[in-house]
Amino acid sequence: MVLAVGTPTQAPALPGAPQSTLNWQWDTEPAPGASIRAARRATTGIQHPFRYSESVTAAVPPAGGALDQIYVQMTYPDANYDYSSLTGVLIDRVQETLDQLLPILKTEAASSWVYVTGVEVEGFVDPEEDFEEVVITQCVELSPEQAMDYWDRLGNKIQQWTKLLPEYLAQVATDRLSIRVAWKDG
Amino acid sequence: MSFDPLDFLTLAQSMASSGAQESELRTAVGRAYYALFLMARDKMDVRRRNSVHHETIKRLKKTEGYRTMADQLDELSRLRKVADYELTPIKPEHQNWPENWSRASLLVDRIRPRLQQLK
Repeated sequence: MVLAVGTPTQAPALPGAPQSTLNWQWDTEPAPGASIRAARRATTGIQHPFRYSESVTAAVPPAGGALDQIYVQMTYPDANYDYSSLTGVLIDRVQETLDQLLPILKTEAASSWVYVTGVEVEGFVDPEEDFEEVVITQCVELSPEQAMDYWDRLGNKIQQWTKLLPEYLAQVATDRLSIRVAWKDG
Repeated sequence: MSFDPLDFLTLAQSMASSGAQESELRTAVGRAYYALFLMARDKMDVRRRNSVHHETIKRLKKTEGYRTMADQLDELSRLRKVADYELTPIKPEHQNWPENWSRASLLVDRIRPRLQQLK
């Protein structure tokens, strides 16, 4: 195994897909025929660049030559539903809206190079107003400021997506879903 | 002359200064939320008396470019309810009050300037 350090020069073509194709520039060119393990350094496009490492494997062509494309396995956690808090809240149209929203959260994380450690779906009952909502938390490995910047991007995507929904689902997205981003100590 | 809700925020920041007790931090979270909620309610022109918090956040979510700010205000609202209702916070992540105030403070810093820009 050779450790190669590279820099992706473009975002995944299909963010959130099981595999994405990236263009890489190698600091140390891997030997022909070698299996490699690579660490990548990515810039998020949000306010502060941060280091993002991910293990990938690839085979360098035996004949050698430039390895300018590599398949990266994108890892993303399954949503964890807290069903005990969701009783009575998770009605069909809420689940239908969630089924569309969760892949958007995944896509946005992938295209922003944000490492997601967990996705939580919980119910919240307001103790003062007769109101219940579903809170979706994306747990990220970012500093608080970076997480806030990412949250902003996410909100813009969600607002665009909401506009494309049929009215009965758009109403759920606005009235019944609250999206939060949690960082390590948040 | 009407009361400036941001005076609540000044009070909250003063109460949450170093060495603050849990009761002060809980109160600070509540006052910080109300400072922003009252601003948002007036900006969104919410005049009803029932479900006023939810209605304000809902209108913000529908305002172009304000979805995240609405979700952040909603988050601060839930934190305020932990502060006011949960003697032992249900979620372990809410059991550290200096951290709760730190999170509330970050949310306030993010929400406040945007709310002030809102016409």
